[in-house]
Amino acid sequence: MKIQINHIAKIEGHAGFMASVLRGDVKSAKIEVREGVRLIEGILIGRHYKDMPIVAQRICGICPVVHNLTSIKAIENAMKVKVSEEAIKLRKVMEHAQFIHSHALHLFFLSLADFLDIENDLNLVKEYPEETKKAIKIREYGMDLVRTIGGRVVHPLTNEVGGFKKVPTLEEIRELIVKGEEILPVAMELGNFFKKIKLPEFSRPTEYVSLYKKGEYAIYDGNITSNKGLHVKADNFEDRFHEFQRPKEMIKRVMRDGRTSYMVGAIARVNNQGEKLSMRARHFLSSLNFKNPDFNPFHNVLYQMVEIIHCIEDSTKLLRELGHSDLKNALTKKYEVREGQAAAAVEAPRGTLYYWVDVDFKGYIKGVNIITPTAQFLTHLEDDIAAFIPGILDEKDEKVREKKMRAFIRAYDPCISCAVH
Amino acid sequence: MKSDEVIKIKIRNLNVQKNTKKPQKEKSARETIGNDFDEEVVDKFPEVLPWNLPAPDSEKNGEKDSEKYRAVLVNADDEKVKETEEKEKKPKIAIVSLTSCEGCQFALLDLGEKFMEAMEKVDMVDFRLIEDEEDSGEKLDIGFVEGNPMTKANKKTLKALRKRSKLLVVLGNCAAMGGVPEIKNYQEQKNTAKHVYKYIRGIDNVEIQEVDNFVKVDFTFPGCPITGEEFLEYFPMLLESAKTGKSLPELADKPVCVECKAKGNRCMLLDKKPCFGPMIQGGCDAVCPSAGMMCQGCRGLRPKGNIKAMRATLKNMMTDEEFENVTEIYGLRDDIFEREYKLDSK
Repeated sequence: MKIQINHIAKIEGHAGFMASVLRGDVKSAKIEVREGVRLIEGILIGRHYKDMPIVAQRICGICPVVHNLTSIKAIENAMKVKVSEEAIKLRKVMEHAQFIHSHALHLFFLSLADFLDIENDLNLVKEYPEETKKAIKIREYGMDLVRTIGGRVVHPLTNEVGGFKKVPTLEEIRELIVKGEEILPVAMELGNFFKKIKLPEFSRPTEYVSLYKKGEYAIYDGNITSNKGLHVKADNFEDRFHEFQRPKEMIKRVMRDGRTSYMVGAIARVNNQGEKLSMRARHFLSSLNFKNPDFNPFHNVLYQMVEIIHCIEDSTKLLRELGHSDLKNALTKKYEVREGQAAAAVEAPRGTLYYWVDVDFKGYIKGVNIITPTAQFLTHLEDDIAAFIPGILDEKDEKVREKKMRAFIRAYDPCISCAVH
Repeated sequence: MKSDEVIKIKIRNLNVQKNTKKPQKEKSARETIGNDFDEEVVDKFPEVLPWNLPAPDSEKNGEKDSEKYRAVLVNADDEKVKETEEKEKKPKIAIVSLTSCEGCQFALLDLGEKFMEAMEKVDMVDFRLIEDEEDSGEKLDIGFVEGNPMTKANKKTLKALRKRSKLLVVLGNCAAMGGVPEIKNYQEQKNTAKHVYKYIRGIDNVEIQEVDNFVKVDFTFPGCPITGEEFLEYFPMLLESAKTGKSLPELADKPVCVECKAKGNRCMLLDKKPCFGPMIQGGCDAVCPSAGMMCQGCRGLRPKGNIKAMRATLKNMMTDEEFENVTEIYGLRDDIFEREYKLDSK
């Protein structure tokens, strides 16, 4: 028997799904990518390093902040450029904001309808007007942060190697703090609404990979760790995670030590470092009563909600600190262009994003490697679906079965544009 | 000396490309507007096509009959009739995405309630970012398209959209000018793939071409990404043109500098910092110069932009090679060459 979905709507990018089942055994399960190759890594070669953040962030229209940030960090590491404390704080706030608006979009507008049996978001909006308003408000708060600090929501402008081209005024920072205080209770209410939604049961033990740093919920920097005892620096990422390409396939898959698939993203982060979340996020997490480690990928949606609460609290905290410091320190200072090669990893909404760059002494790029979260968890998603299919084979109605599969794939929040870049 | 040689070679390459590209462009545009398949069928078997069958009486005197129809159904379910009637009256649109970052769709979605309000006036047939329902393939008033037609499937989607839409409107830099992927055309072209993939067999790696090389384009929202506010401004006018067949709106020919000045920014050119503002189509609210970044021309050349004066001014601030590098980012370079070629041949 073949299970086929031609086009999975409501994900970023174009993909279909194909599985073949023989007498109850899943023989293969495969996400089929329908995206053209833009060759971002290829076109960067030979270009000036200043072009890299501008070009690389155009990999993805929903998470440009992190692509921009990771390429900047990789170049800074390669050229040994030091950045001020204030600039790092501003970048962290932008990253938090990216999490907030990307997660809010996914959990409410892309995924929620699946669990409420609604086909169209315009109907979802009609049936849950109050919750929609809350979700939009939360998303708008995230976008406000990016707009104020970055200059624009899709493809922000101010962040560059060495710091910022332009910084927000103290007045703007104060406004953002007020907005953050207003939005936190809204997020808690939306969280309580999500708690009531019944998510399907499924569990398959696996490896969770995320950044880890002492004393903070690591999203900006840290070492790469897993719940199976892995602990490496970002520079050694490619020693332990091997990228390979199957012939005729556009996504380069990533396997831990070339063998096993693993999971990244909100579910991996909260499982690995949940104890370091902000206070209210921790309360919300414990009220969910999930065991740790929790291996149900549907719960990814709720872990995203946990992170939204954390990011709102933490960004308000960072903004308060910024309010008491001299923001001019965040502006770019003169630095020396040097040759070098280095890696950088940050947490993107969908998981660990890895960049490696090789720059020559004039600042021209000799080599680039970009490994996106979706490329990392795609094989894991296929393995999970292969384990998920037997449980829904009893379902006679083909449409219902297809719907359940789509809900499963969407709960992962894949971004195909990122994966084929 | 060396760099000059490189530029010369690059220019030569570009001219070669242009010569081979030109006739193709005209041909493909013509080909795709007329649908050759249908014409053949119509010639041979005119009676098989539904639209060639004699219309039933009920359709001939349309208004009277629809009133009858309404009278019967009002008794059955008042509200439902109202709803379906409204839906039938509303113009139909679709937003379709080809290979891209989908940032232009997000620029629309990020408008939040304003976008939802604008969409209440239309019947959204396909927008796969917010709906799971299958697209039935019905006729459209406006088809919006974002991204670059890179794969065979992309090209098919694009042509199908053109066929079913009264107006085809392009969203953003990738569709309008080739976007960031077009950098490949200026560099190693097909070989660029070798930096990325080990096995390049089976990878659909073609020269990047803009949407108007494949189908006729009625209106373009420029920018990387598009400006949401600008979309809201022109959207009602486009609906009006689609409905009445009146002439299409046109973007006002103003440089980026108009909005930049209004925002109170100091001109970067005065500080001997390069900026493409004067020759680029405005309407973006000058976001880049306002954030301390030079305008790199993602919205394309404005119709009356004086390229020669711009290049002369920039000569003091950047080398020709640097200039060309920047124009490559958003696929502006081939447009500048084309414009310069035209001016020279005059």
